Amino acid sequence: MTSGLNRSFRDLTSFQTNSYSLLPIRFLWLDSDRYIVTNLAGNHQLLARDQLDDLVNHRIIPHSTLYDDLKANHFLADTDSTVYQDLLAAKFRSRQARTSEFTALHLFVVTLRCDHSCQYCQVSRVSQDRVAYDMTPEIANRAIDLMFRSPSPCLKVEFQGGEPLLNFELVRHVVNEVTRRNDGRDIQFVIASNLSMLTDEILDFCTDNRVFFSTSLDGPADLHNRNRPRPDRDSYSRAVAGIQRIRDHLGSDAVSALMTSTAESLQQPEAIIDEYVKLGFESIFLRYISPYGFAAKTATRIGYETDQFIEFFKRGLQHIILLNDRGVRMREVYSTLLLQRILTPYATGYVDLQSPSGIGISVLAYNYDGDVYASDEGRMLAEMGDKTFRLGTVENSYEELFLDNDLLPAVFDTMLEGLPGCCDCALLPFCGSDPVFHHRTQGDIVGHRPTSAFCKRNMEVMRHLIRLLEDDPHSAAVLRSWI
Amino acid sequence: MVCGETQLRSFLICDHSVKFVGLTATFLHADDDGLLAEIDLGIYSVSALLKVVYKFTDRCYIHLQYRSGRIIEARFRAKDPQKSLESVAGEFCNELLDQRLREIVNRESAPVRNLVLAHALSRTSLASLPLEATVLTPELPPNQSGV
Repeated sequence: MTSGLNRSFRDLTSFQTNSYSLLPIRFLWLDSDRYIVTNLAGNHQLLARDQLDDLVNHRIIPHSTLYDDLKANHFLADTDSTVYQDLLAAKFRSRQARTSEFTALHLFVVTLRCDHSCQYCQVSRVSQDRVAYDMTPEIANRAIDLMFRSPSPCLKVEFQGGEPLLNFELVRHVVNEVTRRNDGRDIQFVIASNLSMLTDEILDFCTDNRVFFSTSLDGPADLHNRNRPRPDRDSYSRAVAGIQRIRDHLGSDAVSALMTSTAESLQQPEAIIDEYVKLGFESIFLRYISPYGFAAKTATRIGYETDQFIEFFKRGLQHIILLNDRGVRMREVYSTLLLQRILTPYATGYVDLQSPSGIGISVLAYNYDGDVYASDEGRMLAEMGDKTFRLGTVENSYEELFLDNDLLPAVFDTMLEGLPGCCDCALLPFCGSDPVFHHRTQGDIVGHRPTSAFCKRNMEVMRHLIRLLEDDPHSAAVLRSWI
Repeated sequence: MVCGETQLRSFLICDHSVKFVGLTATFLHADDDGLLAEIDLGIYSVSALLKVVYKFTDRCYIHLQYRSGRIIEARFRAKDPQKSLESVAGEFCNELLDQRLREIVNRESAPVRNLVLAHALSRTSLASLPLEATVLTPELPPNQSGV
């Protein structure tokens, strides 16, 4: 070939060399004849087995459609362009951006008291008159000190319980104190409440201070009331009335709802979703039950197998897609989080889907007694007598909480990039590490992937979403509209 | 009984290792003590083999030992004696193939991977790119737990 000529004038053979370089990729079978291929930036593409073999063995025909797709996804590179290094680096940094902003979520467990006695409650319940289970203003002030040590420009203060409204004076104190001391951060307040104790006074305060609510709604009245007993068996009607009052005072987006799925729930995903539609919600989180607190103690009564949950999830997702077809605005939250990770280069803030794990570095939980935990699940375990994820107390310094315990070694040891079974998995860029779950279910923060319910559930849900995106254009259009 | 022979032949062809085709007759055996696989270290590394057998530890007890300097024997015994090892044999062949490809990719792309990661984690100036500017004003995390 004559040097110096514009490449457009080269003969055909010069375009047919297979001198591309492989870029870092991972792959995993999707079904009997297709593989999911991803890279460290989260780009993904499906390949047949022979196409994958051709790619790795440099047999892809240059400038074929497949070649161009693989190049555009940064799975291979040639001498035509070198910008892939900058692009891959920028995308990778974007996906990891939250790591450097860490500890955005701060949970204040203002009381363990509660008026409900839910089957699956994730913390020990105590009667309403046990003042010994309330957080004091002194403890709250120390927790606020620690919270403002976080480098995150955005802070979310979530009030947890028990039932936080049973200690609303402390909620009021924390909101006022955090607002007074705000050093320019974007701060959100959320009360996780069953809403049964809601009063006009509380609503007025929340309206004035833009305090939002997150409540529990397990589905239709009979299911909700069976899952969430209270003395007058009126949990559902109180929750529904509370939702409406919040919307009237604070606006329609000021209250969200979360469901917890028990074995009984698994039979009726459509009814649960329809209940959310009926009450005007535009999203639902089809949540796996956490193996903590009373959910673990009563596992034989309310528990279920992962396979059953996956079927429930798929049925529910199908129903939501059908609702979208009929013009009903509704999306599934977990799918949306995963789709953001699959289809965009951006990070998501969900603690369970992060690597490095979100424990400690994305969330801190300040317990009513002043103990500080690396996650909400960590403090739930503590209520079961296992204080593995206790970092210290609010009397410790910020540095002591992060450095004088096993937190950082645990975060390091559970990074997916170094875990057996995960390090080669094509779903790694979309997945996360959950050391608390694996500690609870397998007795080891790293866990054993071939028998991990977390791994099985997430792999199956991700494979299902990717199949819908690839094989079902109609469902794909609905799913893409959620992000 | 020889298991997974078709898949094995297929792998030998696409792996350009036809010279080892003589192993097909003895690669996999099923007997009263489970499944015995012979793995040629001229084709697969020990680390690739370890990664593959790890995937079967949900269903099988697995023991590895050298038969010679070049051959490793992997003994699979079903955790549930009622379960057949036939599917294990087939999956094992395919997983070995996959792991072989992964090793090629990892070896060939390691310099680029290291360069990209070093570039991504060291150049703070990248934070000013529009793509990342969007991430620096992130949504707050969704609520983690119910009540």
